[in-house]
Amino acid sequence: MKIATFTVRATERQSVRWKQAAEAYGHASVGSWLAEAADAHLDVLQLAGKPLPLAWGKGHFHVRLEDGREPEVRGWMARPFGLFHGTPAGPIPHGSTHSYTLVYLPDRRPLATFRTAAHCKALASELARLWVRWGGREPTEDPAPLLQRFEREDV
Amino acid sequence: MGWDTKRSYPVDACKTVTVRATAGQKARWKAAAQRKGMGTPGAFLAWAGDMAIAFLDTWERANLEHANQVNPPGSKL
Repeated sequence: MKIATFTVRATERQSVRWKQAAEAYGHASVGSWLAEAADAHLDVLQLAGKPLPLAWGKGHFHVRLEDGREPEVRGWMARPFGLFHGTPAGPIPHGSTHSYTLVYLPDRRPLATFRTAAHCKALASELARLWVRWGGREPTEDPAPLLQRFEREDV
Repeated sequence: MGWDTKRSYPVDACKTVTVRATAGQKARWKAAAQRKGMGTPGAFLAWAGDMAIAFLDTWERANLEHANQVNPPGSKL
C-alpha cells in the first residue's frame, strides 16, 4: 500500500495538547492520533448526511422563463442543476442586481431565486442529497419545505 | 509533500508533526481542506486535532455534570 508522509505545523500549546490526547487514547505517535481525529470528523459528517459538495463549472443551458420562452443562458452548472444571474423573468447580463436563480436542468425549470449564488449552490447540494437517496431519480418527496427554509434564510 | 504552507496556520506554529497517510486519506483530507477554504491538508489535520480536543473536553465536562446531577456530591444513596 502506498503511504504518503507529510508534516503538520503546530504551536507549542497545540503540540503539548495533541501529545497528551495521543497518549490518553493509546496512540504511539501524535501523527497517528491526528490522522484518526481527521478521519473521525469526516466520518461523523458523512453519517450526519451533510450537503454534498457539487462540482460547479461555467456553462450554457436553457431555462423556461415566466413568459414561456426558453432562451439559452450563461451561468454555472453542476448537473442536474444550473444557476444564472437573473430571475425567472429573464437573465440579467450586467449590473450588480443581487438575483441568482437555481434551475433544474432536465426540465429547464427555475427552482428558486436568491440574492447570492452561494445560496443557490447550498440548495442544490441539499437537493442532490435527496436525489442520491432516491437512486438518482427526482425524489417524490415534496421539496416545498426545503425551498421555503432556504427562502427564509435568504431574507 | 509540498502541501504545507504557513498561510493556514497560527503565526507561532513553529513545531512540526509528521503524519503518515494512505492514498485514500490523502485524497479525503485534501478535499476536506478545500471545502473548508484551508490552504493545505495539514491545516485541516491541525484543525481536526483542535476540534477533537475541544469535543473531548466538552464531553468530559458534560459527563461529570450529568454524574453530579444524578449523584450529587455528598449525597447518600
